[in-house]
Amino acid sequence: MSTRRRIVIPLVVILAFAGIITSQQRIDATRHKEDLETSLLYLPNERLLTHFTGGLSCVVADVLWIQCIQYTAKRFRSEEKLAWLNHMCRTITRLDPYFVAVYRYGGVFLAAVNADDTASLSLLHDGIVNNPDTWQLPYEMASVYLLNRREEPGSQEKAAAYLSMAVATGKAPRMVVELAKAVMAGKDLFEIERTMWEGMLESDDAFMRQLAERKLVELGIRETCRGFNDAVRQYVARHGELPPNLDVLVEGGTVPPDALGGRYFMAPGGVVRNTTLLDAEVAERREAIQDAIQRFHDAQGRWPLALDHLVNSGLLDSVPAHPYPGRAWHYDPKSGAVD
Amino acid sequence: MRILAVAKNTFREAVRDKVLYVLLFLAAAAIFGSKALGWISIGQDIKIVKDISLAAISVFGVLIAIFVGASLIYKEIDKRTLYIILARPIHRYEFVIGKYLGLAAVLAVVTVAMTIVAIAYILVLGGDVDAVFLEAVLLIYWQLLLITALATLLSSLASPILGAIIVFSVFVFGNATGILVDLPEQLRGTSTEWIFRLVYYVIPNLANFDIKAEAANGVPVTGAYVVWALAYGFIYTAMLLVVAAAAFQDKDV
Amino acid sequence: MEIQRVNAIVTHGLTKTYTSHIGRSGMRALDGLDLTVAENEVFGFLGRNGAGKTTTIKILCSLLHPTGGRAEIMGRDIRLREARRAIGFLPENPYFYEYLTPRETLHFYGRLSGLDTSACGREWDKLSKLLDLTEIGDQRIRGFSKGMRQRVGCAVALVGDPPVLILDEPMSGLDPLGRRMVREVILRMRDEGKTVFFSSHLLSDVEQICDRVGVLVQGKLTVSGRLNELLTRRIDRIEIIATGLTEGAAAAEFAEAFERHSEDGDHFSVTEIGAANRLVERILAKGGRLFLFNPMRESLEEYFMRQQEESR
Repeated sequence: MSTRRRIVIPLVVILAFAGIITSQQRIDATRHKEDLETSLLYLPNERLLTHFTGGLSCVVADVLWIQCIQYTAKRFRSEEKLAWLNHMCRTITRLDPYFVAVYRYGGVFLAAVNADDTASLSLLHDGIVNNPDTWQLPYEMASVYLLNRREEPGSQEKAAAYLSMAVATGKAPRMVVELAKAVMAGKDLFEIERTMWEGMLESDDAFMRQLAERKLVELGIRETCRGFNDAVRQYVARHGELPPNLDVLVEGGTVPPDALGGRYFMAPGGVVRNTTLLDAEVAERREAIQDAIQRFHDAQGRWPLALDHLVNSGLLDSVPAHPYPGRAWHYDPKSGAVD
Repeated sequence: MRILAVAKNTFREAVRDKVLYVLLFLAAAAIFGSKALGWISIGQDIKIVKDISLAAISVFGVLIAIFVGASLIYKEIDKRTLYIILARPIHRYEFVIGKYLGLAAVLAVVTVAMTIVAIAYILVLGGDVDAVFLEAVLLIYWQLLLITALATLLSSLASPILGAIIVFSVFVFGNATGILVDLPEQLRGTSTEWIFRLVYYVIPNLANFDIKAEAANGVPVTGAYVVWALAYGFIYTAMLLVVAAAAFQDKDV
Repeated sequence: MEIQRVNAIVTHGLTKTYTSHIGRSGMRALDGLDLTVAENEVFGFLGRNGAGKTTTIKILCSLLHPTGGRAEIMGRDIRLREARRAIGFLPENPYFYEYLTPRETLHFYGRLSGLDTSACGREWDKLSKLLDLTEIGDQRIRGFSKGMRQRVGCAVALVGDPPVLILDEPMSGLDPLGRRMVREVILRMRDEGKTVFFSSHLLSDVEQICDRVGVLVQGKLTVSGRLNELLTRRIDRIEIIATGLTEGAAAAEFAEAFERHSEDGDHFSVTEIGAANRLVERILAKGGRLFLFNPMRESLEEYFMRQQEESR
């Protein structure tokens, strides 16, 4: 190649590209811009679409997912309803039935933005059927029951059931486990809870497994407590007074200690309690208080003078009561320790 | 040994062809470029990289299988390189099988190369690769073997263009045969259903080899499924090769 | 005692009809060809383009299946793979894998003939020397000239030392040097005891090296035999060129034999040896000098044309 050609040809190429780019920009500016929503109208029936992607259904699903994100983001800002969201999510999950994120975010947005909890629950339900091992989908389902349907009777129980399902996968983070515990607290949903903890025994996380073991023992103790309470009620019905102690309620005359060495006792008012459960609760609540005290110290550089100050400064909603009836927290303002 | 000599030569022809490297480069570019889609996917980047990697392995493999396969034997006839070969003491089936195995070896190398690139990239991005990903690659390769066998058969009967069109149609429709059994209610029990069902069993069901969705999402596939899919592919491929060898046996070249 | 001699190539009633799929009309390319080529013979297979030479050769190499008849190579039916073990084949305008080098090409075909790697190496050493391929042995065939390709083709045909060589138009399209190379290879192979069967429409080459020839006309063998048997080789005219005759005198004096005047001298042509002698005496008497005395025999070309004419 001659020197002249060596200069001229790249120049021609560069000039050509300048022309190509300019004309492309003009074309783009002139052509009627197709609305994303309009293009969605042409989205073929997902049944046909699944068959004719030539084995590339996952990539098509990915592309649709990204379109779906853009669509949602655009509409979300304009605070309109996402009329096509359900259809898109259905199409994507038909193409890739294991695309958990689509079920999840679809469910969340359908419930939160469209307030269409029926569609949300249906989508999440199908997601769980295809992906029984994920904690996210039952968790989102529980959230829908707890938030969108909180007025409906029985939704708490359903939420609890789905949360237990999430925990039972053994993969759920602690936040979900805590929520499950909170929803179930005060409800005698023993069976749901048992399934949940038994499921968590399979967890990959050693901490989660230990927690599940412990919780199953505690569950047994709580059931025993309930049995004692029933017995106490029957005793009262028969004798017209509280039993003098628990030993009279059992055959053999002595109440054995529980599996963890704690004992059962009857609190004033005839409620049967257990030291193992109470001690666990004491530790938990004390930790919450101690944590708040520490945060107070971090913020103010001194220990609070009394526990009430924690509530006043917004660190606690209220100072939790001491679990043991008739006992109170001992607080030392000098060291910041709670006992 | 004669089969191996033919296979080796076919392999050598392919690796000395620049087209192969262009395709490999494009496949690698697709795999690396997939991250760009991942940026706006709400934490789904590893999944999308896996999806596109598997799609690239499949698509570029199919491209090679169709375009090299469809001219595999035709080119030998057309360029008359076949004359000297068939005048040697070689069975014609040895030639067909040798050509097929050569291309199968090329596809194996290409698949392994693309898989290594994809896995390395996924690991670099912080994802993890589990057994089902490798199973998916194996089944993709198995699908390529079937498609190559079909292309080989057609290349001894038809021109490369016609062969490529037929193989491509079979590829697309073979991924969609599910539609033949996924029928609307009103067709149940009619003779149409039986015809559709027959067609369903005759056309190679390539969807059998598609566990890309499971692989990208890390959903395990049962061993039995993989084994049956491999058996299906093996039987179908062997049948196509027998037909290809038979079709070529009495062909005047 | 009678020596049992195996013929190298025998065909009985070999027939090939090409049928087109549309309609049942067929084109008969070979029509009951009976051919015998003895061992250690150089057989020239003549015929015009389209006479069926290539069809015959393709049938012998199992590239085509005959519609009728049968053929044997070294006593083995061509349908058997063993028959092909005896053949070294050079197709017309041989095509090779362009991406291979001659060395690789030879190895590849050697392997197909059942040689192992070390045997292929020995064959290469031998044939590359014979055909002068050593220097281009590791270049890709892609850029090769016709002559180089033909040398590679010859080498490929000779790989594995087959007793029968079948060469299709081995000299077509080659320059004189290339033709001489092919000719030398053929003669050398005959000296080594091989049978060479080659087709050609270039009669001059056949004339020089063939023991026997066969002439194929429209799918039928019209004649075959030893060249000197086939050709009467009659002297049909004698060409004489003389110089030193006065201008104009030659044309006037010897009008019955004079043909033309050229730089060489005056050209005369007579049909009979006695007349030629008389003419020469008269030329010398007139002071002319004899420049050329050439008895013209019937060429194979003319013989071949005569066969074609007669077969009509």
